[in-house]
Amino acid sequence: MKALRSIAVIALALVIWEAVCRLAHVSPAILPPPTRVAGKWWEYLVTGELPRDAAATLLRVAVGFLIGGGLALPLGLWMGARDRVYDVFNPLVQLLRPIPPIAYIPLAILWFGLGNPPAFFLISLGAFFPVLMNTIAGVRTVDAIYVRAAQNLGAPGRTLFWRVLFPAAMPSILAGLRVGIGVAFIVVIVAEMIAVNNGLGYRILEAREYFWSDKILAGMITIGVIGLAIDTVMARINGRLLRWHRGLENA
Amino acid sequence: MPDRALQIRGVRKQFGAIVALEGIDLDVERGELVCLLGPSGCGKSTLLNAIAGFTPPSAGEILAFGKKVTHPEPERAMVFQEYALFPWMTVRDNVAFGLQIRGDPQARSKADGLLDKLALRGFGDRFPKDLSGGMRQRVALARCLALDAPMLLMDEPFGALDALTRRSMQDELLRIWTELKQTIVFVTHGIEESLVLADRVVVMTYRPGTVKKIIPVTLSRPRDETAPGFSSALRALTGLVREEQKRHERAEQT
Repeated sequence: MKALRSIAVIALALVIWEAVCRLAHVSPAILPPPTRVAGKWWEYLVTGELPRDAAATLLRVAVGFLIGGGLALPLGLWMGARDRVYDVFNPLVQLLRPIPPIAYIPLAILWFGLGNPPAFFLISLGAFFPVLMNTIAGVRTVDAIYVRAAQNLGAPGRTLFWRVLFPAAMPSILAGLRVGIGVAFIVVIVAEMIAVNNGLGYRILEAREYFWSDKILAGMITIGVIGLAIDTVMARINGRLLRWHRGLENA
Repeated sequence: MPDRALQIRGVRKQFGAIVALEGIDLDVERGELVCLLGPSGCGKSTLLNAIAGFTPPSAGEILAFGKKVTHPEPERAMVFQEYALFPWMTVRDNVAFGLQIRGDPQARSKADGLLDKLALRGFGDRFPKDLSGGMRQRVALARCLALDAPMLLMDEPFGALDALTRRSMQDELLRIWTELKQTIVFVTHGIEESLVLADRVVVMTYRPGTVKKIIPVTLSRPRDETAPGFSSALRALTGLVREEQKRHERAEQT
């Protein structure tokens, strides 16, 4: 029923879009009707261009996210668990965190030239801070009573960390990973518009040069669908790993 | 002669300007069940935390089985009011955790044995969130019992439970204690609860927390709340606690 309603709303939006284009005689270079976008999308798909672009984009997201998240997670755990480490690194983190990854584009190109390396750099930056901040917060806000209970049961430091602090921080860590991959996906599109010559971000910018509005929209919709798919997968993983969590009673 | 379970000598605990405990002297014999009773703010939980080794006293010392308390140890197992079960572990893993830390290869099967004993059979694979308050506290108790601790420290463990569940948990605890004869220090603000459970009731004063009076409870077990002896003991104890409650209320008004 719920799925049916969702489909109905989307279908209705498409019908209105189509109607506006046809009845108002909107130029297809400005806003092509959805039927035309669908046709272009199909063409884009069967020529193999779209799968190659999507694969290139996803690869960049994956590599950037693994580098950024892979550095942020251990650093966040370390900063969260040790007050001394937190005090040392926190001022630097607070200073760097508000700089949007986009602002690093000039430096990224200076340092890494064009191609995949600057894109990986920018995407890692985008994923790094959400994962770092959430991991730190997750570990630091673990209820002291769990630590006491574990110490009372005789848990040595290592056990305390891996079996108490880490799992207790897991909801926050997973939230950070989910935000981080979302930001990585935003940054990849920007990076592709600047530094490389394939991928979904590059393709929609290229289509603009030729006034191929239908291709721009086909690319945008693909970006939307892939973003939704990534987030759905992350939500599934969260639900699975947090079966014990009270906030996810029905997950 | 073996050392007493607890020897508390001149314990004082201060948090900033607030003196929470002052001049506490208390001995507890092995196998004894002692209740610390008093209004909130009398420092009874503070004293229990000091005995557990979570927060060292500002002055004085605490000896457990003749050894000075410096840090938390499994031989003094704590049951918390908020249960403090690890929500990310199954019920079985919660109970087995202490045994696994010790490296006991039979941790899980021993945990299952304890779950059976505490009427939790079949709940081993559940998470704490699926359990009622009473069941959670039974799991917390099982987690401590798993360690065969000679001393149980209980911080208002049944305070959050409804009256009927609390009653059956008290019976459960007495049954276990009769069988295993651990030393138990039980913090409560329930006057009746202390009379149902304790060999001795330590009445504490409101801020600074001191020992106001130690009342031995000589009523025979199992205790009958409707017996005349129980009511007269209850009346006497209520009078003592009321005095401190009034001091507490006056202090809060100023």
